[in-house]
Amino acid sequence: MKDFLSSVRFKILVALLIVLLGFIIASVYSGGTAMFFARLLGMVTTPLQQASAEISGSVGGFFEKYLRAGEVFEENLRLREEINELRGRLVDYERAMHENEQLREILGVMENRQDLKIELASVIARDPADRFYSFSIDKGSVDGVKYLDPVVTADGLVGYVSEVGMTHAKVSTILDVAVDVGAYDSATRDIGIVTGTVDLAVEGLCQMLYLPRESAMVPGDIILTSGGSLYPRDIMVGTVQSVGPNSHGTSLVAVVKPFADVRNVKNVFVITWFEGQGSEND
Amino acid sequence: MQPRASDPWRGEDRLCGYVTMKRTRYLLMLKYTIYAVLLLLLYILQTTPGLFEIAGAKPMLVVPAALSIAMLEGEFVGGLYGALAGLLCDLGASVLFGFNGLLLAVFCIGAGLLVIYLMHCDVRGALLFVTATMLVRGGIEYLFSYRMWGYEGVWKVLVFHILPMSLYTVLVTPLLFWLIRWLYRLFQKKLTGE
Repeated sequence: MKDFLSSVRFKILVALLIVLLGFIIASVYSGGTAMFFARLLGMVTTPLQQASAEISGSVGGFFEKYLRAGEVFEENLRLREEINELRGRLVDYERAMHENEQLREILGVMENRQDLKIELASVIARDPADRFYSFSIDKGSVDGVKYLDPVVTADGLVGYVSEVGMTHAKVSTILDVAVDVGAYDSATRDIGIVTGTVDLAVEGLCQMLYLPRESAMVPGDIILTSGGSLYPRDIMVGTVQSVGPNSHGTSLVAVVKPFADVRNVKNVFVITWFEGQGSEND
Repeated sequence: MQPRASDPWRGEDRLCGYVTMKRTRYLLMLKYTIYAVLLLLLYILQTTPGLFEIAGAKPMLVVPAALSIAMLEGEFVGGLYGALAGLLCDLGASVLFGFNGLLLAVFCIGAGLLVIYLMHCDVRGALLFVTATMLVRGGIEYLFSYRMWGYEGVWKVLVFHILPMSLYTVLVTPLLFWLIRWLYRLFQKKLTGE
């Protein structure tokens, strides 16, 4: 043992550990940009992860219809019940008209968005140690992706870019406890913060906090982003599942089901530019 | 190299020694390259969406692989491959870059030294090292990423995510240990000329 401690090998190992510690300290101050070594490793692993994800997706897709036959049958029954429930709601004329007008307005806004630039990306890796379904995509700084860029699907908001390399980027989802999104209820116009919790993340849900106690929010209401320097306005977030008081009774908390299937998403859009992005007036 | 007339050493022996040294270097380089490629492949497999997933848990395949290399090759090579395996994990993880690298390097160095001075190099030792590594790694991540920030219900992260992932990783350890050991013995035979 004494020989080992006085050997050159021991000194090299100590130097290696110091370098690794340096990586940790440097990543604290990197501001979301992957370090050089990480970018280099990312350039090597990204093409392999793309290939592996495609192969896995193809094979999984082939067997999925047989493996998920039971799930699909149950989902079919559930959807039939849901359709019956929705037919019942249509009897309420004023509420149905109001919902219809809002949905048309939102759809019109999304179709006519001239204030966004987007980049299509594929999900290539999911970290087995992550609790909140964060993932890596196959686009990076060379494609115009930047730290804090919002990530969406055609259905709605997924999260934001939490770290960017040259050819890959990491995305933190709205199910994450550390992610906060300014949002509002399209029906009541109440403003709150959408964030994740450990409990709800398992079910693919998140919550909306700091709603006023007198809010008229009800299940079924649609939640949209309220805009600012981090997220463009009127990006679909999800629907309200339930509303209740918070633990102190000072405000209301809503459970929100995201429109995007955050846990299983395979292709996403990165909003690389929008009007007001990064401004300090937020 | 041509032997001189007065050279006490036989020229053929020196030439054979040169060829053997070159062959040894080639075999060592090939072995270490195969280790690196294997770690890369295991990282790709462990991060491929949906692959090897059971009830939401996936194994960290590079951890038992790196520890097995450390047990068989010693603390120096083990430390290097532990750092590589950890840095690969850091690429896709939501932790500071270098966290897994530093942790795995330390554990691999420790595993290499323990096998040299204290323990047998067998599956039981591999299971022990992997269990200790995964629990310590999971505990530190739980403490610094969740517990200290005061989020509600964080104990569920430990019970329903970190521990199942650690258990799954331990369960696949024998397969990876036997694979690495097979590779090691294959090259040892070639290096010793058996």
